[in-house]
Amino acid sequence: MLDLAEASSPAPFDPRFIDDRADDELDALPFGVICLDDEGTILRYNLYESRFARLDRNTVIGRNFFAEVAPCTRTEDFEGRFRSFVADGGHGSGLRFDFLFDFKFGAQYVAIELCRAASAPRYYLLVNRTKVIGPRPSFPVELLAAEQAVLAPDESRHGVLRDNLERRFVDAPASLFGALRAACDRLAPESWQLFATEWGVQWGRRAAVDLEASALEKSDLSLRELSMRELASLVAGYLLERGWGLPTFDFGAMVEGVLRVDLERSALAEAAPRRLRADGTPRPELACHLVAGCFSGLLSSIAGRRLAAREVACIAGGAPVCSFVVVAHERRAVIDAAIREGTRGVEPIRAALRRAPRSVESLR
Amino acid sequence: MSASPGERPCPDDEVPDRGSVTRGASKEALDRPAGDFLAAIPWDGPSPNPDTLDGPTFLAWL
Repeated sequence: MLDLAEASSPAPFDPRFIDDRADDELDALPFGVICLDDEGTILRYNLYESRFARLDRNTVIGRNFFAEVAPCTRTEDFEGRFRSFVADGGHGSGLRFDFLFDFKFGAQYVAIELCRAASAPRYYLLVNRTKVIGPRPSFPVELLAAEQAVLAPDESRHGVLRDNLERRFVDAPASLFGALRAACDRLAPESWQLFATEWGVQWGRRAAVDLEASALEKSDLSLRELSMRELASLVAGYLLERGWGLPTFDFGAMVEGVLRVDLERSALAEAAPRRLRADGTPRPELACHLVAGCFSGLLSSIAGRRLAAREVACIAGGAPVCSFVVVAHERRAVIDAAIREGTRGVEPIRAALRRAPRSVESLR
Repeated sequence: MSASPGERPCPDDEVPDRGSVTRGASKEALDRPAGDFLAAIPWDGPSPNPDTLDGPTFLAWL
């Protein structure tokens, strides 16, 4: 039933074809992407760049990158190279150079790759952060990169809320998920899990971008370079601090290629309807497909291979905690089949995985 | 977390004491880089037992 979910997988990155990438694909990339026209007007701006520059793409798109958004780039080293590249037609293999972005909140060492879209006069800046440091007091204030509050003042009067990294958020009650679930049950009772899982995968990929930025800012390390303990704490904190519940990572079955994640007080499970059998016992509902998808997208991004997470026990179905099993993407069908047959709980699912023949494909 | 318009504490800056969020792995294992740790997990499942494999799987495994 869930085979269609997680069907969208990012293709391997090739800068020559970046113009063909949809915005959601650019948002899953672990480096900044800024698309400019030949005058330097911002046409596209991905999530990673938005996170590090602390600027909302809705605010910067349509503005001139050099004059309005990043005055620190008005140098021969940056804007001069861009102008020469454009004047030359932007053909060839592109340009690479290092630069230091200066923001009010700090400076960022970056490696820039400049390339031209194959079929249109659009130019892409690929921005790899290599090190983040504090503000440089000696840097001229008038050349600092723009701030969100300056480019878009008084946003709160227009119903826009932002956190301290200038990310827009919506302060939504958990009952919103109860309402969403009720709508799903009414309109798509057989397929809403597909939607929720894929939504979660997309969320997980974006969460990985967010956490990658946090890791670099705090320790100059990528997520994969953090210790496993630090990574687990970071991922758990991401969910915990946003009110999704308290996750615990259990590596006890990793020799079987199985990672278990328990989630206490899941917001989704607690918002889900409680349905009872005729004998008064809970029906074995699974309500947290969105979180399962998030684990799939997030852990796949970090592990560098496709993984699939499935909820196998849920508070909404009477379990004390929500439990998820993470396996290689190729093994997810075993779990899905077991769930369809009514199997619930980590141990029965592990048993089903042990019984399943290992596919020839996975041995190659 | 309550929010006042236009301002909210940044979740990433908060470090609440949440205790351990891991179990089932040794301290030494958890100290390893996450990339190495995750790469060492046999995600495709444990190695097959050659005594119980069917023919095609056994040939592929060879």
